[in-house]
Amino acid sequence: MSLHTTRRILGFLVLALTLPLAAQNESDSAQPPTQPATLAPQVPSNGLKPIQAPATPERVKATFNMGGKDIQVTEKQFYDTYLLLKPHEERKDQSIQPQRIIEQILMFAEADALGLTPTAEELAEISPLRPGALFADSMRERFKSMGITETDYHEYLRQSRAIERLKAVTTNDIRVRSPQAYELWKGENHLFRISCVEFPASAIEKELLAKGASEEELRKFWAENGNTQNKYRRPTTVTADLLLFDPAQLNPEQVAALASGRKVTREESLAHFKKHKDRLMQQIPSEERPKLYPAPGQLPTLEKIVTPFELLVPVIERELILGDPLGAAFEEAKSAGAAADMKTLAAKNGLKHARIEKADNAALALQFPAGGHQLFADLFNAPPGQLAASIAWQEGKQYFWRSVDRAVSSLPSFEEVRTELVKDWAHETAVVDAQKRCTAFEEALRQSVAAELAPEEARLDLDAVEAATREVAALPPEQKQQADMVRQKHTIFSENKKRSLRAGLMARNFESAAGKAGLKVSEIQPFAFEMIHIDRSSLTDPEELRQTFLKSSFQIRGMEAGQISPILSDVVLGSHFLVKLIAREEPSFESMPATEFGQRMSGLERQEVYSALYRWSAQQLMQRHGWTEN
Amino acid sequence: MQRFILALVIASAVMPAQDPAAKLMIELETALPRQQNTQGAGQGMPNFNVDWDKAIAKLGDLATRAAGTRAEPWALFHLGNALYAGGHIEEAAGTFRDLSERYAAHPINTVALEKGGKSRLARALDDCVQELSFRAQHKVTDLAKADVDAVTTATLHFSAGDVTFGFYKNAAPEHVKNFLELAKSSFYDRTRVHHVAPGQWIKLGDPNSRDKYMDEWGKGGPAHSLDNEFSRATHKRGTVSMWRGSGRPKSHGSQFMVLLADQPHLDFVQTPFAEVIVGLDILEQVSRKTRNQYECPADDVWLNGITINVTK
Repeated sequence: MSLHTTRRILGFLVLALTLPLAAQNESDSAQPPTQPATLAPQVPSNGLKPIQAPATPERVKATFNMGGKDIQVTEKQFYDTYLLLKPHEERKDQSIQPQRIIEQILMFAEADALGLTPTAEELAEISPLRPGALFADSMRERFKSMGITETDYHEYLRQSRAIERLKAVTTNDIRVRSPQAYELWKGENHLFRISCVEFPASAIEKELLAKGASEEELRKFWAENGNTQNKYRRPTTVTADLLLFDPAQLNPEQVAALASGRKVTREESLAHFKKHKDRLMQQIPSEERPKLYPAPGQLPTLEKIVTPFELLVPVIERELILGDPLGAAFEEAKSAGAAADMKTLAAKNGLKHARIEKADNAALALQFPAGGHQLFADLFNAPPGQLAASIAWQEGKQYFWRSVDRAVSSLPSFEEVRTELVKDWAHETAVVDAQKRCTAFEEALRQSVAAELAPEEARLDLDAVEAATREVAALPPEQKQQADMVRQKHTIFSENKKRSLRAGLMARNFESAAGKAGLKVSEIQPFAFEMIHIDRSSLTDPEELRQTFLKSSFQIRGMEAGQISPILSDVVLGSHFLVKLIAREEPSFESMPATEFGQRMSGLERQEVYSALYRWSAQQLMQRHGWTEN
Repeated sequence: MQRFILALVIASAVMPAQDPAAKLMIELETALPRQQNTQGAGQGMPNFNVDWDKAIAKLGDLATRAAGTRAEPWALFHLGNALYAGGHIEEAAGTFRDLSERYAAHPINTVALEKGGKSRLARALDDCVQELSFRAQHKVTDLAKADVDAVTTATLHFSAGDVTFGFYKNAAPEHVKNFLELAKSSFYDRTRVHHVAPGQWIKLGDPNSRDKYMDEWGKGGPAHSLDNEFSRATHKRGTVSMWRGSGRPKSHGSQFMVLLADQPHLDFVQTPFAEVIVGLDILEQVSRKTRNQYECPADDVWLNGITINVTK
C-alpha cells in the first residue's frame, strides 16, 4: 500500500471520527438524530448567544469590496454560511462567533475571485462520499443522522478546499528582493565620519615626570591608591625540586634495556589498573572501544568477551616497566628524607631534574603545565623538605616533587617601590588632569554658545510666554484649570528649540573653539561601527588603540550628524575625547558581506511567510476588504 | 455479454469521471514547496527547508503535463515563484511573462483582490523587474549551497546503535576538518549524550561528560573555538550543527547538536556542518528516554568511538 493511499485512508478515518462527533454533541442533547438541526435560543457556556435566523432575510447586512467591486451580503447569506459551518464547527458549549462567519465569507470570496474553487470534477476526486471511497457509506449514514445533506456537505467541502488553496497559494507566492535585504543591512551599518579633539594623558605625564614628585605627594599616592598597591603586591610563591620521567622520550633500545629480565605479573598489572583506573580508561584505543559495547543481536560468546583491563594490558605493562627508574628514585628519596640530593638522584637513575624557583601560581602553570594549579596547591600546603606522597601521572609524564620553600603574599614597603612609583603617580595624575582640561574645554564651548545665543533664547522664552498667555486667554471658562498645563507645554517647546539651537551652534563652533584653545582637531575617515568586542589589551600602537576605541563607541553610534558627544574616556590609552559627528553615510551594496546578505534574505523570507500565515484573521480580512456593517 | 455491457453502463454512471485536469489540480496542491506540517516542521508551520532545485524539477514536470488544462496557469505561476526563490530570476521572469501572454484573461492576471492593488502576476513581474534591475547594477553573491561530501563519512558508535554523518565539506570546511581531527584523536570517545530535548535535539561532544559530575557537563571542550561558517544550509531535521553558546561570537570547539525537528531559528546563529544519513531514528529514541534533572538521559547514552569512512 503506497504512502499516499495510507494517508488517504487515515484522512477518511479522521473525517469519519471527528466530523460526525462534532455535530453529534448537538444531536445528543438537543435534537432527535433524524431531524434537521434547528437553532434553539439558548446561551452556551462561552456566553455568546447563538446566531438566530434573520427576521428580514433580504436586508443587506454588510458590504465589502473584492477586486474593486462592491459586494453586498444579505442577512440570509450570512445566516446560510452559519448553517453551513454549524454542524462541522459548533460545539455544545461554544457557539460560532460572527467573526468566524465573516472570515469564511471573505476568504471564500478571495479564493473564488482567483478561480481557486474546486470544480465538480475536482470535488468528485476528493469527496469522501464518492462511490467506492472507504467508509463512504458509514459517513453518509452519520451525516444523514445529523441532518447534513450531501449537497450541504459538498458545499462545505468546496468552500473549505478553496480556502485551503488560497492559503497555500499565498504562502508560496513570496519573493524577497535584494534591495530589501540591502535596505535592512545598511540601516545598521552606516559609515561614520567624525572629527575629534583629544586630551591625552601622555603629554602631561612627560611634563610631570620631568618635574618630579615631592616625597609627600608620593607617600600620599602610595597610601591612598589601592590599585597601585595591588600592582606591586608580592604573590604567594613556592620553591621545589622535581624529578621527571617522560616515557615518550625513550628510544626502542632504551625501552628494550629496561624490559629485559623484567616480568610483570597479572596481579601487579591489576593493582596498577585499579590504582589508575580513571586515567587508564581514557587510553583505550579508539578502534578497540566498540568491542566493549557490542550492538544488540551481535553479542559475543562468553569466551570472547573482552574487558577494559584486557584491552589495556599492553599499556599497563609498558607503564610499569618504564616507571621502574622513577620508582627507584622515589624510594631512595623517601629513605634519605630531607637530606636527599635530588640532582644526584636524577643523574643516577637517568631522570630529569628541575628546580622551581619562587614561582607563583601562574608562573608554575606556565613552567610546568602538566602539574597545573593542583601542583601549586600541593607545594604551598607542604612544609619545606616534604616529599610528595606518591608518583604523579599527568599527560603521559611521571614525576614527584620535594618542597624547598614557600612564601605568602605581602605588600612591599614604600621605600622598596619608591623609584617605580613615580611612573604610576605621573600616569594616574596625568589622566585625571587630562580629564579636567577636557571638561574645561567643553564648558568653555558651552558658555560661549550660551552667550552667543542669549538674545535668541530670551526671545524664545518671551514668545513662549506670549503664546501661552494667548492660549490660556482663549480657553473656555470650564477649561481654565488647564492653564498650567498649557504654560508647561509652551515652556517645553521653547526648551526643546533652545537645546536644538545650542547643539547646532556647538557643532558649528567646535573647530574654531579648538583652534582658539590651541587644540588640534583630527578627522577620521568614514568607518563602520565595530559591533564585536575588541580585545585592546594586545594592541600597542597608540593610533590603532585610538581608532579601535572610537570605532566601537556606542555613544558615537547613537549620535546624529552635527552633534557633539559627551566626554569619552579611554582607560587603556589614558585619553579623553570630544567628538563631532560630521556625517553618517550609507555603505555600498558591494561592501555587504555574503553572509549578511544571505542572513537578511532568509530573515525577510521568513517574515513574509509568517505574515502570510497571519493574514486570515477576521480583523485583517475586514480591513483588507472594507467590510462595513449596515 | 449483454449483462456485462449493462454492468459497465451502470458502473460508468455511478463512478466519478476520471478527469485528468482535476487530478492535476489536486496533485498541484501537494507539489507546493512551502507545505505546512511537513516532517520536522512545527505544527501549522510551513516548510522552510525547501530544496528549490527539486521543487523546480517537480513543478516543471507538472506544468508540462498540465499543458492546456485548468491546472497549467497555476503550475506555471508556482514554477515561476520556485525559480525566483532558487535564484533563477531571468527564468522566473520569462515564466511569468509567458503566463501573462498565454493566460491574459486568467484571474491570476486580472484580479487585484485589494482596492487599488495589482494582480498576483503583475506583482510577480514587478518583483522580477526590480530584482533584475538591481542585479544589473550590483553584483549579488549568494551563499554556498551545502552538499553532502560523497568521499568522507563518519560512523558514531553509540551505546544505542551506530549513526552515520555525511559532511558539508564545501559549506563548512573548517568545522568538518575540526570534527574529523577531534574524532581521529579519540577526543569524543566515551563521552555521553549530555543534553536532550525530546523530539527536538540531542547535544553531545563534551569531554567533561566522560568522567566529571553532571553539573559540569556542557561546560567542557577543547581550548579553541571556530569562526562561524554560514551557508544556505538550514537547520532541518537531521542536521548536525556546532553548538554556539548564548552571546558567544564563535562556534564551540567540540560540542554539537543533532536536530530531530526543524529549528529555523538557529539559521545564521549556529553552523550546520553535517547531516545524519543513517540512524536518525536511534537518536530520536535517545531523545525520548527518561531524563534526569540535568535534562540528559537518566540511563547514560555513550558515544563509544567514531570510525571515519573514506570512499576511494
